[in-house]
Amino acid sequence: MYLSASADAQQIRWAEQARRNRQEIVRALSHGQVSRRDLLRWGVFTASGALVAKNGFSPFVGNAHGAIPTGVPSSPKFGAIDFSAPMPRCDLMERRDISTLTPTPRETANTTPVQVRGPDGVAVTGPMEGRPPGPMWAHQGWSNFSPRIAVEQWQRGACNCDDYHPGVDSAFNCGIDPKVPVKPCFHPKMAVQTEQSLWTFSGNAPPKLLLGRYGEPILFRHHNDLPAKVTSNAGFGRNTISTHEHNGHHGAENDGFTGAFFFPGQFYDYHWPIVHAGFRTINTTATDPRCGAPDGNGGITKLPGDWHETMSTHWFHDHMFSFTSQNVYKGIAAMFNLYSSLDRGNEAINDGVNLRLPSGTAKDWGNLEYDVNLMINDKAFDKDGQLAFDIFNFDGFLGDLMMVNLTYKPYFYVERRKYRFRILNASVARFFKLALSNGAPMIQIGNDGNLLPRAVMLSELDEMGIAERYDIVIDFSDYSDGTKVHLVNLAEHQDGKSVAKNLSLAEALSGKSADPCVGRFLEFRVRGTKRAIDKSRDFSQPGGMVLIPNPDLSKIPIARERTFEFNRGASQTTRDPISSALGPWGVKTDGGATLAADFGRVSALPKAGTREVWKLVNGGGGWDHPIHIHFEEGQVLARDGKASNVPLWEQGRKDVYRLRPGGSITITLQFRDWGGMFMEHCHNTVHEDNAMLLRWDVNANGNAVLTPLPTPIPKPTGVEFLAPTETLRTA
Amino acid sequence: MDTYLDSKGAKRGLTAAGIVIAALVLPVGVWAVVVKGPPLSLPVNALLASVTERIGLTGQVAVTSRIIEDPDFHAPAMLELTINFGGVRGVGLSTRSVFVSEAQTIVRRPLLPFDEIEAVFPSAPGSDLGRAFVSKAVISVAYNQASGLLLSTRVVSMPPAVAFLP
Repeated sequence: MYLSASADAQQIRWAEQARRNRQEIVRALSHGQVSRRDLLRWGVFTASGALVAKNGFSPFVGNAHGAIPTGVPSSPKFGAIDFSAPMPRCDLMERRDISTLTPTPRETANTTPVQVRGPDGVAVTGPMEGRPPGPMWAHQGWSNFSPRIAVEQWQRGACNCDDYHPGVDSAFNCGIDPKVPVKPCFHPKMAVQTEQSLWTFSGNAPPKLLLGRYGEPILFRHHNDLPAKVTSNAGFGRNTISTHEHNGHHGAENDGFTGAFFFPGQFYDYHWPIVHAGFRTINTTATDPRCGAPDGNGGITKLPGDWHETMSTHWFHDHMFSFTSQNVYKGIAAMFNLYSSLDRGNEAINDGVNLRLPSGTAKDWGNLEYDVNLMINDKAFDKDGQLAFDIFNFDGFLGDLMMVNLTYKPYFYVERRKYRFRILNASVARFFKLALSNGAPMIQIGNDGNLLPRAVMLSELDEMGIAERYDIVIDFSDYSDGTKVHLVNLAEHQDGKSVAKNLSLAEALSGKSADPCVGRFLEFRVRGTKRAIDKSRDFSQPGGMVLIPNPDLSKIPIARERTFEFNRGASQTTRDPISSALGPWGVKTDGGATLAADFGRVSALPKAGTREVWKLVNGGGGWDHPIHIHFEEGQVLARDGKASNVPLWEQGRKDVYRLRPGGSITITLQFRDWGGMFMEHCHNTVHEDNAMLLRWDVNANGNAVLTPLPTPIPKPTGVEFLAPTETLRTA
Repeated sequence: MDTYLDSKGAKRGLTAAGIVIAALVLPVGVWAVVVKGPPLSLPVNALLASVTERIGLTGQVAVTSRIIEDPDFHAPAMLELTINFGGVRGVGLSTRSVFVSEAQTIVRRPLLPFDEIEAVFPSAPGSDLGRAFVSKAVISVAYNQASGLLLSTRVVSMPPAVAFLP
């Protein structure tokens, strides 16, 4: 797809013109000047979502003067050399006492009138807080789980980071001096991003990391400080946002529902109670130390709930309806480490509960010296080096520059001991398949937010879909000082539909792949003439690989089975101008029609307190979908109909389920503790935006009758509510 | 400069954030064709050299396969192999240590008349990462279109172990 380095000047000119044409369309879509329906009507896109095979538009069509595809111009690198920049640790979000937050957070939305920016940038009077008002969107559990920690962030355009907090000494951070301002660029030689090109938390890099612990509810106040005009976006992205904590167990009002977005000038208070699932019914008197949190003094605060449901590695990102892909790509993504008595981030405390995973020892919890977050994704630039988003079709956008923690192909110093890496696939449409350049073994300890029942030793990880997290342990003990080992991507793409080919390690390292994001992308540089002190878990000991077993659901009856099939060829049955989307992708529920997204449509209504089995089916062989279900974790029961097809690394709990081409996956979930409207969608966010998303409600009021909830329709002047546009008969 | 959209007279004034839609029925995708091959066990018999000793590997590599057609885009069929090394066992000739593997790998590639698929996997005494060694399985895949969906595999070689010390 990307032009090779040997492309001639004429090819590059044609490709650049085609890209400008496409970027004009992206810009107009993001500004609301045209709609997807317009583009279909004009013949810009085919009914199946493909860019019309047209000279001067499609990168896959030969130019008028020859048969060679125009391709896509490669992103300029301005002389940046691979592995010449240090990889920065994530920047810790500041945690404050809740009493410092002004105005004081409220159970229901704060509707104090303020000036709110509409799409044209003109201020109108609207509510201070963008959360839908009233009791239905009040924070569930507000009294029982009063927030104790305030985290206040401003979503804004790119600026320097003058206050970088990596959470570790610079010796553990490649010598990066945190007092030196960090410019918003992906490499020292690359262009500094403008405030319209890159949007992120506090507007700056490195990507943000929030540390939280169970039993310590957080109030995340997110201010929308993005450019007021919808057109001030460098041609992509939308300045209305909704923040999804992936995959928090909390009420829907705090889940970043795609239709609960808010405008520049507003904030939204997200209340994250940080509880173990099942707290209302299991271990209610909090007697089990395995269900707990670090108490700050080397001990454990016991908490109610099911310790089998302990989670570890989350992230949060934008979820704006129809613009998730553009906004997340633009930078609205951060990571979130959750700490518990089992996974407390202190490898030395040996209390019979703590799993002592690689972390550090200085603090009671949350040590990061040997616990490293890696946010990996692919980006692309325009000719000026500014972040650029392109459309080829609705299959998925692929960049040609590999980033780790928003740094182009960096290096990272490691000591001669074990490290934990929390790897997040934060791409828009790209899958990864990772290995070390020398084939050395890794121990996979976690999948998505959950530590596995049993860790697995592998040389090649499975493909990672978008939004999946793999926690792995790498042991650098036996390397000599100065050794360089690389993290390698084996998954070769040609387009955003799915991986075209899994390469062997030799193929990936050969440099012959046409996919610029295949091969080495992160360089570990080993330092130390002798082994470093390592007090973390010895996996070789008996039971050393045993982590967190799954909850036993065998005695919980299955209340309902549902089937969701993810297809092309969606039809539109509702017409709401805000809540409905148009696109080639859709979801077929329980044998009905394949429907394009409408967040006003309720596709499933599980009853609170029950368990269901959901079968997720890939309706095609030419694409893959990583399907994400909000709110509840699931256990994989079968792949392609058989339990024996479930690989070891999927035998824990997950929240993103990669279907594989032509495949199906059967999972079981419980629905409990909280209620509201949640989502299920493909996390190839271009598929999601075009329109592979559905809404499901769980009404936790305990009523016998399952009642679909009114849909919020945000406007700068306030949120209106409409009845659901549709409730499926099978819901 | 007249842009593509200017020429269409298409841009209109700013509207409220949202997307105008209408009922539009799009063609429904065709169900993918997935053919599952019979499970295969590939015998392993190799003598490898790790950093510390020679290791005799025996046992079976279990391979299951799927061929996935793409009737929607008419892209070439894909071959998916799930390779399970759990049946491979090694014995160190010096230490008599027993090396086992729990590794699996899933490889998806375009279906070709002939392909060689390499997969790297670790073996260790139990879960002793410090004593693990790595091997490379090379699986030859032959596809005979005339006979229909016929898949045959054989192990070409198990090269000497690649020590993970550089």
